[in-house]
Amino acid sequence: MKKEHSHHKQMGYQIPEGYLEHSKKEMLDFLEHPTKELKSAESSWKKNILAIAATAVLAVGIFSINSYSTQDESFEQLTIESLEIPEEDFDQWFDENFVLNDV
Amino acid sequence: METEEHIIQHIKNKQLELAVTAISNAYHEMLYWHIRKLVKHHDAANDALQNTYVRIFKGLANFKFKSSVKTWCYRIAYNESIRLVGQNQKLGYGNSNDGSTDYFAHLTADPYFDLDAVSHALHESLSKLSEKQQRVFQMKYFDELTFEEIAKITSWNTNSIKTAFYAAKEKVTIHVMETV
Repeated sequence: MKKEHSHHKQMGYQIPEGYLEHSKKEMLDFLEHPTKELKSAESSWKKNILAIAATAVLAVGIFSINSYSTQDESFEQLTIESLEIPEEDFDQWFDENFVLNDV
Repeated sequence: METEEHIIQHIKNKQLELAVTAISNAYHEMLYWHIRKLVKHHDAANDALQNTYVRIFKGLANFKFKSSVKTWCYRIAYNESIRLVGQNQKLGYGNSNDGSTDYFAHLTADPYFDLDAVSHALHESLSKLSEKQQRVFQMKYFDELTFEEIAKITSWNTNSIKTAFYAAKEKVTIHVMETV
């Protein structure tokens, strides 16, 4: 008997009963099945990433359109209002509605 | 029992699943013990063995016959073990250079380790060796690999392996004789 088959006892190393036979079968089974699982996991991972990316693009798009139209509307409203402001009060009104709103 | 020739024949015939099965029949136990001595814990050895199988399976198609299949498998197992040991050391629960206390604390944390007088003396002497000396000593003394095989597995120079082994052997012999 070669030393390599008995030295582990000398070293104090133990293994669960029947481990070597069981693990041999388990490792070979692992090689057959995870390939499929890994492939399907990989493809579903890619699908998820694509879905998340599409949602993010859509969300950013909607947000941009909304914010652009809101800004546009408020600007238009203020411009109309500005026509009714007396000349002497205009500077103060301008500060309040444009300058301070941007802070 | 599968032989090296059977395995090579399967690889040449592109029968990779048969080749892995033949490798498993021939070297499974040896690979496990080789890994176990490097990573120490049974659970870690099981993980490294599984990774070794995956790499063997993936690498078989590109096997260049530059070494024996056995040496090639040992090399993969060695690399997987060292990678795992490195990861564990980074996480702070590997054995390291803090002397025999850490070495034994790491060993005895494994439920599949039984420390008696003989194994204590042997491990104590191993704990006093450098990392390189430990690996070389284990591969040469326990796995009965040749210096050339160890050189191919570790990518170390053959002469430095011989030097490390003889220095390690002397230290271990003296320590065990003094202790037991």
